[in-house]
Amino acid sequence: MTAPLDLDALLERLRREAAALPADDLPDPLPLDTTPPEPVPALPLSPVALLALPPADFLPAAYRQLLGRDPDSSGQATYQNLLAQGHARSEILYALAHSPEGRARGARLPGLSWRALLCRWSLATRRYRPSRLRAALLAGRGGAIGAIYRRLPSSLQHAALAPFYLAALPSRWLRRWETRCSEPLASLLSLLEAQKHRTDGLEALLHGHLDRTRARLDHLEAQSIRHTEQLQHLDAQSIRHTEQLQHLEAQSIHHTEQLERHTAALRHRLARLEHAPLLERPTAPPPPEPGQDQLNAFYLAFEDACRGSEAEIRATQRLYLEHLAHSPAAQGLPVLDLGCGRGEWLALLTEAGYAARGIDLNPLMLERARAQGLDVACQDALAALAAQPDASLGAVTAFHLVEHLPFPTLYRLFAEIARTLAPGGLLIAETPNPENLLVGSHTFYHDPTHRNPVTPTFLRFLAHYHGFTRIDILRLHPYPESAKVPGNDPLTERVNGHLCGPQDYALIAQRPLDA
Amino acid sequence: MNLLVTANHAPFLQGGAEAHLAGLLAALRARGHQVEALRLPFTFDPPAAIERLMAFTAGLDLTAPNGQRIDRLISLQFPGYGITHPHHVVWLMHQHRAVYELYPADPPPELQRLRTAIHAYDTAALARAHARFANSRRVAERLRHYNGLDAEPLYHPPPGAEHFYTAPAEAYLYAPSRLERLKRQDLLIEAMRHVRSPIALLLSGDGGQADTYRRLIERHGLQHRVRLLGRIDERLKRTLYAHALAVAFVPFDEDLGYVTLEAMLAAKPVLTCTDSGGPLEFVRHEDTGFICPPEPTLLAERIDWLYAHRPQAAAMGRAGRAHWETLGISWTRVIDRLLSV
Repeated sequence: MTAPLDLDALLERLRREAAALPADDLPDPLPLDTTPPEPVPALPLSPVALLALPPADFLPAAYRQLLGRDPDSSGQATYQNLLAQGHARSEILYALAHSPEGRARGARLPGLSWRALLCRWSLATRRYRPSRLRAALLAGRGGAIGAIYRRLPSSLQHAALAPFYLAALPSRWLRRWETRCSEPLASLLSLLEAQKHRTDGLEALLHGHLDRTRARLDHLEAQSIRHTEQLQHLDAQSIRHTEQLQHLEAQSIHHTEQLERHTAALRHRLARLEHAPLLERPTAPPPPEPGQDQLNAFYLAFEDACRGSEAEIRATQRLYLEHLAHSPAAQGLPVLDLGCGRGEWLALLTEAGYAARGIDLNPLMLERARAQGLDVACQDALAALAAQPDASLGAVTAFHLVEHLPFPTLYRLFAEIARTLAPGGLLIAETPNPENLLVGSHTFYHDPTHRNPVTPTFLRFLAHYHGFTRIDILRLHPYPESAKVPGNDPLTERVNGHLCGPQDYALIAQRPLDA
Repeated sequence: MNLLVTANHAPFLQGGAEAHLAGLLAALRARGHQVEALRLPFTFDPPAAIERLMAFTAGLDLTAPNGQRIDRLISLQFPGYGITHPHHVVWLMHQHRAVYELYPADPPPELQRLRTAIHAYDTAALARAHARFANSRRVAERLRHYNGLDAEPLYHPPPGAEHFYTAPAEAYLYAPSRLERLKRQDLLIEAMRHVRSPIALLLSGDGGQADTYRRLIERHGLQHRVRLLGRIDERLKRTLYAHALAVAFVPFDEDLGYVTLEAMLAAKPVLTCTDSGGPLEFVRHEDTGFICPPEPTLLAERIDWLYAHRPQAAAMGRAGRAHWETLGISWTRVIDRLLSV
């Protein structure tokens, strides 16, 4: 890297490396021919080429070339013999081509040209070849001439055959010509052989590639089949899910219809109940549930512990007497106290000379009240009001009752109170004040029979709705000064207001005089 | 799902936008969705042409064209995101930059008018979108800054991300980008005048500034060490990344910039500038590269440092690659996110 810059050489190196990178996209798949390649046909050798073959190959090749078959054993022996006697290969080819079989096949020997004549001559005179003649004569053939020859000394035996050496001359010439032209042919043939060898090698390689490619294709195909199956499976699942969904939908429609039917039935029953004459309603309290006695005992104990002592309650309730002084109750109409409990308020009223009656559902509380000689009954508030004629009461009071009632009951309660109060009659209802955060979030829930806090806004509206007038909200029982955060800046005042403000409030409303 | 993707078409202008769109279409198709692209012919000039196109898209309702269901309309560019569709998901590549961050200090009156029109169009159209994503944090920041709208940054991988490789460094700095003024190759050429090390600068890419940059190289007599390679094929690009000592990418306020991501993939440190935008979301100064003020002499110092500290430079490159791995940027995630809303 420290060598001086040769940008061209560097770029050349980089370009070469880049060119060797695989292309991003695979090339189109090669069309693969799955039929095996045809075998390469044996090279047809010209007759002259046969001259260059190795000795052992010559005769079989010549036979195949000219007669189209392998040599038979007698033919093989005959021509082997001729070759051994010094005949040229050209002569053998000539003999084969001109045999009856060769002629029938139309075997031709291009390239031999005029040398065919030599062949013919040589073959025609083959009986007179010196070696052959000598062998025959020595074997006792040739009659008298043979006998004379056999008696010659061996040196003369050869000389005696000298004229016949002429017959061997064509063979010798032909052999010399063959040697001359077969040398380059032999090297060509070996070259061909080598080439064929290489071709075979390449072919084997190609087959290997083909096999591997086929294997890969098979693998891909198998994969594709698997994926298709998975897709089909998913498809089937999706169909199943769709069906399930449709089923659920149908069910849901069915349920909705059922629900609507039930709602309609309930509405019908509710309407019937609402329109039934009030006097027909059962006046007896519902029978106490099993265990109600224990609950009543608990509630009395709870009230004693948490509502405050009777004396304390009487003290705080005394202020309501002032309001009653200006109501028809002062003229002798009775005061009905709903949820009178232990009777603290009734006692106050009685002492002040009012005609007061209380109802409650807790027999233990009522017992306590009766012990004081108070007029009380075990009755449901609505039932007690229902038993009252219109405009017959001077006042109706309800301390800590409304927060125990469900709204429909509360609604009807106000309606009934409005009905039973005489003109100018008073409704006094006290309840915990949720404007005080600690009341709304904490102390309200001391009592397990409380339902939900009732806000002054709501209670005022409810009274207004039922036709009451001169509606007043009195906020009562704030925390003692000692409980407040000291200071009088706006923040402190707000904190004190929300946390230490009035814990109860009372709704005081009047039945209109001209009602 | 039937998905329609809208983007612009500026004939024969090749760049990141084309690759982004092609990548998105391919990734959506790979997930088995029916996807078609709607491309709006876009010409930067004159302003009236842009206004006509805006008016066209503003009036186009693709809720169910010819009664065909379109489950999602996904828009990448201005002004396609103004087309009406109840489930229009915008994956903002960038806005019309000429009237935003590239708005000149002394604009001609017609550009002023165009700016007012586009700002109003963008703010209304993008506020209407069912969901907004941005190509990068930088793009989301601009949207917040200029139009007061939020968008979720959503990164995607550069094309052919899996093909990048790394190799021993040769003595050159590689800077691939279109040759445009915003890409600021002139900063690098100027820097090379001050570089003392025997190191070359190879710039690939084509563009409107090719002649300017060529003349600049000649004027400074830098032909022996700065070479403009023109447009090259992807394989040579990867080899140039693989053997670079470092990758230089110094654009002005880039939206995202594939170059940074590609350099990280090739495990090369990145030299970028403090005002380069997108790259700053990825390069960690002195850890995976250098973030340098856009000053030729300061860039030259960093280049000399990289040459003098080649082992450290290689280590920075590896840190960049490791950082890439932690980012989890993939088309799978992009598609999951785009279709989850």
